Amino acid sequence: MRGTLHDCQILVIGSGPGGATTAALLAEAGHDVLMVEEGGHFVHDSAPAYSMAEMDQKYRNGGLTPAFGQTKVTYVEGRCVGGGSEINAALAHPPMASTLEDWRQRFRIDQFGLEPLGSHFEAVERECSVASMPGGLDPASMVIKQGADQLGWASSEVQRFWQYPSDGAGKGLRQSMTVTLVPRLLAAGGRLLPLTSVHKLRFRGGRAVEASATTRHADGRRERVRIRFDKVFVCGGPTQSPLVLRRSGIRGKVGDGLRLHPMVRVAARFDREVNDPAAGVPVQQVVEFKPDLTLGCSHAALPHLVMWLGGEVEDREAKLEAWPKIALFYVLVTGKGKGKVRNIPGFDESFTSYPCGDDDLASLGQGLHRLGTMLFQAGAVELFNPLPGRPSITRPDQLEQLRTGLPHGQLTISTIHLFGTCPMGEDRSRCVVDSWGKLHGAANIWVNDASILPDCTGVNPQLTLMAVARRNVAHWLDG
Amino acid sequence: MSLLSKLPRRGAQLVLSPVVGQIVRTLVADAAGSESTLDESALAATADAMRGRIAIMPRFLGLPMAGATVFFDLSGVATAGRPFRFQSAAQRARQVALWRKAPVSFCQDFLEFYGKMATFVYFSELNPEHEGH
Repeated sequence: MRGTLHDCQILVIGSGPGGATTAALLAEAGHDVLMVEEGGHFVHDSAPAYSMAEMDQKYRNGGLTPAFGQTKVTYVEGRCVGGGSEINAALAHPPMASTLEDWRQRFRIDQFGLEPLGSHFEAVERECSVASMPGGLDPASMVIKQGADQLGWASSEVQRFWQYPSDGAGKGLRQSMTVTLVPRLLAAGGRLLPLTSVHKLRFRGGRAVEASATTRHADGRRERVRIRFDKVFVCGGPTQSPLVLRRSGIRGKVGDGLRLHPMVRVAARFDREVNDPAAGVPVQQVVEFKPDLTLGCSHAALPHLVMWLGGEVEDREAKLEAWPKIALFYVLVTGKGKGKVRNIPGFDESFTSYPCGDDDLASLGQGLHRLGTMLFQAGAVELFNPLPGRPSITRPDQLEQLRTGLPHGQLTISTIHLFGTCPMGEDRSRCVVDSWGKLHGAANIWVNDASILPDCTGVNPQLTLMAVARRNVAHWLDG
Repeated sequence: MSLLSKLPRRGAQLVLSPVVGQIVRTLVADAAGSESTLDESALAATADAMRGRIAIMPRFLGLPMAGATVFFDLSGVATAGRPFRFQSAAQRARQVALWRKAPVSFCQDFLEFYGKMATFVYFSELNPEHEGH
């Protein structure tokens, strides 16, 4: 087969939090590592955050990635060096001990739990500058806190992967992979090949020996690439890792078991200013109902607010004129469905499906009712109805329309957290990789990204996924 | 690479350009409150951005979306006697309202894609100071 040839000892496919962690630690341990990434390599401020330019540069398909089902769920994936860490809210939330214990038991994961993973969580927090925002809470976070306090619900500030300036000047710097682990990989002699999509793995004598790929050049030219390796870590994320494996002839449970956190956003108007986009991403969450339900607030400059202003809105222009009095809040639930990721013959892209069924709608409905109750407690005067064509909600008793019987196909449901398409564990009837990420039945293939997390974390997942990836690499290096 | 981008570029532009432009105008007016106050330069940039969005869609989405756009345009013949792109502002608003109420989720999905994306782009064009946070 022709094409530009690269040789390495260890190939890492994907440069998100799982891939970058894997590649950097292996390179620092002295191994010859090549990390390939489908997307481009951008500096951290190559485009304004949450802008169309950023979506074009760093999001898969410019942000248009649907999971099909009775109710469509739109998800967002990073497609750039650093993956999701370059575009997410950078929230660092440790999982609940009960969540990890549940996984350990259900999936038979060896040596797993908050305690065995403790040193890895600490290392990630230290090396990626997980920190609290200095100064007081932003106005939207204060709404969450005030409303939750009134109802006696626990809420807390979530720390971020963020380096805040010591002198308080400026916004600080997101500690994404391009700022943390990718430089470490390169400093340790590792190599990075961006704009390179791996199609499949080729085998000889029962071992994976080569990856066939394509590099897209800036001038539009496509270059065939062959990468020979001794070992490979597939870290493309919950949709791309199963895609590569299935194209390589590794099927079975691969791509089954997609789990996600369905989310619904609601804009709410107050008599006071509650929205200051310059203050950064709001960091307060209601934790009372975790892991099943999280209530929080989203970054929302004017263009975002207009996008999410649903329902029938009276005096829309006047209200938008006073947009700092409107903020965007969300309900995030642990999804009950199990979706699939599949290849489409003849196409490079994945086909993702997720059955957002009655259970998920019931969870979202309960969550919307709680969110609305809390926002009215905090002084909201209007909730813009997330159901299209319906009038705004201006009194708590009107929230009942959201609590039960949400219709399929009407709510705008999105997610940024996907899991479970290559679950880890010793239960081979449901797990694709073992307790340490090694593909069951394979000699030299590992998976080390969010696809191996077997179920929803119930919290922002980056910290968990990096700690687990770190733990798996440490085990690999040991032995 | 999008299948759409493999079509003759000029042909695709000729087919989609006016339709996308009118869809964007109508839906942005719906979000902003009225058509008379819209900024033409921002609208033009938004329509360009939407055409670009369709072009970069995965092929299994991009081609159906382009087809759906053409279908939306031609379905105006049944509702107002002329394709959507030739309708008055009131007729266009009426067609959008009909599609919003249609019992077929495809119609709502189609309008949701255009509505949300176009609204975001238009207001981003008008308010560049809101970027970067």
